[in-house]
Amino acid sequence: MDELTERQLITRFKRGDKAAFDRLMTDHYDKVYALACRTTGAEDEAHALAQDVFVQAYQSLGDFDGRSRFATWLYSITVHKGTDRHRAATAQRKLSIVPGLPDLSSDGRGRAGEDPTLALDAEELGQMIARALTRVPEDQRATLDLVTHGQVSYAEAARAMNCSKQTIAWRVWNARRLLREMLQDYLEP
Amino acid sequence: MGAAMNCEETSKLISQSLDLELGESEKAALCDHVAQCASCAQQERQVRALHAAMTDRQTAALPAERVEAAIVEFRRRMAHEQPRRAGLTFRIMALAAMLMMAVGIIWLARDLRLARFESLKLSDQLAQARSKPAAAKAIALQATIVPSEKLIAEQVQAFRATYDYLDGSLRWMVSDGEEVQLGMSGSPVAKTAAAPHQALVLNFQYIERVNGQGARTLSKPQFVMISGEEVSVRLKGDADGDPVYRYRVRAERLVDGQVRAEVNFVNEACPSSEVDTTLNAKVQLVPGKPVLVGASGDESHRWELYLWGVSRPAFNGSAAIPRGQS
Repeated sequence: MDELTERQLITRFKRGDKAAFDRLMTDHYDKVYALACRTTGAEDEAHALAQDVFVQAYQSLGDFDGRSRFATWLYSITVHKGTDRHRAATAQRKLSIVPGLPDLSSDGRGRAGEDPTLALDAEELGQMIARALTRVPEDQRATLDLVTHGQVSYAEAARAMNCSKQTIAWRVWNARRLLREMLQDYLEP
Repeated sequence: MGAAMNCEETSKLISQSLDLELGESEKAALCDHVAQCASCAQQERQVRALHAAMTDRQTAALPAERVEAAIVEFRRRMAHEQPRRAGLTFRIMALAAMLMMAVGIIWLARDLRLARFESLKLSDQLAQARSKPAAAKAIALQATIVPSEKLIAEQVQAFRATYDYLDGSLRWMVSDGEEVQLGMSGSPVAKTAAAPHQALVLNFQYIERVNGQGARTLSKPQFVMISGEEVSVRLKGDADGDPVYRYRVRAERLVDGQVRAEVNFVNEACPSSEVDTTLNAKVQLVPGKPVLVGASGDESHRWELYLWGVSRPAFNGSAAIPRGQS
């Protein structure tokens, strides 16, 4: 869909044409869902998160000013809502251990008895990253998600997250630095 | 750059390279450093592995049925929702506000008609002057700017003319080299007690340095203002017009002949509380000596804001931004 058509759809929606939103959702749902999967790490949660994202988009599209791409705007809603869910889940985990969720030890380097020298394949490493990401400060994790999975430029991310490009670059860099430190034993030297 | 780049800078460039945010020179500097530094080479391999593991997990495109099912669920959920629209009261208030604004603009436009004419005329003169640098004595080359006495004098002259015409209501005039803007701060009917000959001129130069390769001027606003007044203008922060900064400047002439300036700037595209956007600078009005009032970034990519001023109508001397590494 070219940009003009997308803008036309947004304009039509703002004028009360609800069907225009279906087209926007059709065009963007899978990307939002994929980003939600990265953010939540679970398909069920990702589905619920994607629904929440489009509900908010539906309610707030009147305020969308077109300064960023519509997709970037949706991704920023996704990472913000994902952060909220993550925060709620973290609060819940303080009260109970979630079954089946391997926890990292306090130093973030895995459970006692685990052999960190075992080589991990990409999928296993991905799972380790997902767990390690829960220990990265929220703003940095959300920014890394947006840039890596939303595939938006630093400039777009800066607009979406209401901060400077330098801040985006720093957050992404620091999130990667923390991940590398936490997973050092699992990475090839 | 390669030899000068340290490992922390390299670490940042490695991260930016994964996101395709590096220019050619930065890529080359990164390659040079990594080729010579085993620690950074290891870091690059590991960060790339992390990045690959994150991006390799891209989900395949969802089947159309699942997207359709999601939309059906969404429709069910939103069955009773309407796109958010402004309420009647709000719309009436907005209409009233628009009408009041329109009346205000018409009133202002009447008084500013001549001022605009002066502004356009001056803008023309500035454009001509820029095309004939020898005649205008204005040279802008890389990081060095020599403000033309003639251009400043013309601006002050136009400032005085419009100030007189508006019976003291004109508050500020600003030029960014090619465009002159007129404006007022506070209530347009309030008059300042200051006389127009008390005008002072503040020059700013916002520059960008990349990898120590000289500097690029992003904007160079020049304010003609009266001591104690606040001025405000929006300027582009880079050549692509993004971001846009709003400068708000209050300056006063001190008894010792110096000027104290308070500068506020906000990136309008990205207002952020993480950045200290207020600068206070006491500027010694020595011709040719700009003061660095703010800087951000690091050695590889640095932004600097310089300020210098002229407080007397007899404008002498020039100003030059220091070259090379800061």
